[in-house]
Amino acid sequence: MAKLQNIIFLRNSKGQSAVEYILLLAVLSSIGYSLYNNRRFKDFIGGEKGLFVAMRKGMEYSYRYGRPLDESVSFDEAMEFQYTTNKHDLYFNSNDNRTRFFTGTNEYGK
Amino acid sequence: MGNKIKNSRGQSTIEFIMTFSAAVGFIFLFLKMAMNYTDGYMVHHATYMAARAYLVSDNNRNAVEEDDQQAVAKAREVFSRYLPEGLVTGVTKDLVKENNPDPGLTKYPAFVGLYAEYTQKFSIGFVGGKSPVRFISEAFLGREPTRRETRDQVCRAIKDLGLSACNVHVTLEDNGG
Repeated sequence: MAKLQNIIFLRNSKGQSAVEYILLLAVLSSIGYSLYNNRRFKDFIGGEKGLFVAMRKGMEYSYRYGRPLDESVSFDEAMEFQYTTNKHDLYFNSNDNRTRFFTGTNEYGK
Repeated sequence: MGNKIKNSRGQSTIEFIMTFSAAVGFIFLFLKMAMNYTDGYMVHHATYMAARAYLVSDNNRNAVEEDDQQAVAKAREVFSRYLPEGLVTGVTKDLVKENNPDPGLTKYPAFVGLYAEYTQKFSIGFVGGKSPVRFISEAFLGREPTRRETRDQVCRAIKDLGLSACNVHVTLEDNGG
């Protein structure tokens, strides 16, 4: 050890920050690279099941129907609705099996 | 090593550029999504205003279908007035479609009116998948009967009372029964 301390280029701390910087950069780069190439991460960000796809579907559904997309809704059926039935989510409440329009419970007097 | 890297000048600039580009990318990611919303609100408004025009448009034509076609043309004109071409990417007045009041074409009267469908890119890069966002704007305000339809209905009612034609002056009396 004593011999090593006598080596010229180890007598001062010049270059320490550069070495630390390179090490840190290498670690962060490898983490970033492995994350970027990770299948799960890619699916999460850009796949058809990830976070942003859920946001996209929520945006499409709420834009058309004016209500949030929840688990009770079949997204594909809702977005492919072609007005051939009355099961438009804004018009028909599938949970109560009736339209969202309402009227008086008693007949109007004559 | 050359003279250029004997000091740490420029380090903060490089770090700033790296973090700044990441931060700006992140901001633009959500800015694009926000733009989708604002575009969507504008299209909703234009569709709604077009549906109002479609509701009341009446050109006093002899054929009901001709009047309906002109109502769609009028609605598209109103749509483009509120949303001139080019204001929202990919949105033109031709996207406006009708659900005709004819029961043979639109089974449920609740869906008579107009709708417009268009797509936009969801975000930047590969974020959110490759599929675009599909926006469907609907305004089912219905459609008022035209003068021609009203006249036909009255004529039919007069004929039901026993007259062979309704091209004569008729006085109807309501006896309160």
